[in-house]
Amino acid sequence: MSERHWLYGDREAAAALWVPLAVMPAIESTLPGFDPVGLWVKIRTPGAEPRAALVTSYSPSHAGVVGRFGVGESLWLDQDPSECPVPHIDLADATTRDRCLRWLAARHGVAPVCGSPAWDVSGWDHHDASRSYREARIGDREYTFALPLDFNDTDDRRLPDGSLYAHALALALVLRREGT
Amino acid sequence: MSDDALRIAFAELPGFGDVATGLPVRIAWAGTHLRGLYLGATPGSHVGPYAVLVDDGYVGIAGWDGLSVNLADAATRDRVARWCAARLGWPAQTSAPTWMRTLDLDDSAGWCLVGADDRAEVFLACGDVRLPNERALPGLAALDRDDARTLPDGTRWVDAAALAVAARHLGAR
Repeated sequence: MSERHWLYGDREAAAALWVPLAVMPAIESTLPGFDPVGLWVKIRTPGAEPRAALVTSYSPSHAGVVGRFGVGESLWLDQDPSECPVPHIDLADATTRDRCLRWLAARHGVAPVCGSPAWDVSGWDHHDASRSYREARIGDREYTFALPLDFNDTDDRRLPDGSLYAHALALALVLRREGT
Repeated sequence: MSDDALRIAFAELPGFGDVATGLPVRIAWAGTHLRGLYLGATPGSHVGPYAVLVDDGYVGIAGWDGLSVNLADAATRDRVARWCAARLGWPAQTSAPTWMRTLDLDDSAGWCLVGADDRAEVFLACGDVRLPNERALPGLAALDRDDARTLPDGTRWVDAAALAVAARHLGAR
């Protein structure tokens, strides 16, 4: 990779890394058993700009968040469902990716280890009798996940922390499929 | 099982306070210990004090010296592993670096921080350092790599204890 391209100002690309924690108004968890406490989330309310908040307590049916810019401010997500803000995790955040990888590994029976499971995205196309796909892998057991063939693994744009946008996007694609 | 072996004070990890938001922390306060969620540096301050949401919902301000994290927590281990990688000058990757035991090939047994792009830093329990990415950490000699005790999440206590030793070492550099 000769030159780094940063993901500045591309709101659509940034939003592709957001995964909803719950579906409203049923308030059904999209990532069963996922614990977002301590993670930054985006709170999306219809008609308003998303705002960042830190999850301080959570259950699939009831989430409490405290805003970063007003320590002590609480927002309880038990409002009118039509106005209910929906928390999204943001895979641009390294901590969120680590938490998601541990959740994904546990979901597939990969034994927990001291360190975070590694996430690797292959540039290879795989074709077999039933499907064509690109591949992502997690952990030492190389549990594989199929990615769409149009997934662009040569996209070398970078997240604010310097890591590859495409690899985080692959994780978002897998999480959306793995969850409900 | 010693909880102290897995506990690291913020003061031992320079800059960790900037990347620790959301982690469970312990706060030394008035001769006792409180537990809470670390919210980050208070606005306008780059060196503390720090805001901590205590378990009962009370938001308090803790000084730098009173805060510590526990590597029994998986998210804390991931965060500390990323901090170690940054301390070594590694670029950020999609996933946190892996912390694992080295192969038992000879007497240079130890632990290894493994990142993407084949980056690795080896921490050896005793002294026979041969490669640029190896370093001797006498503190590791006190740990038994075959110690089978596990943490509540099923992972090995001794691996977390070794990570604590390595992190303290990198923090003191």
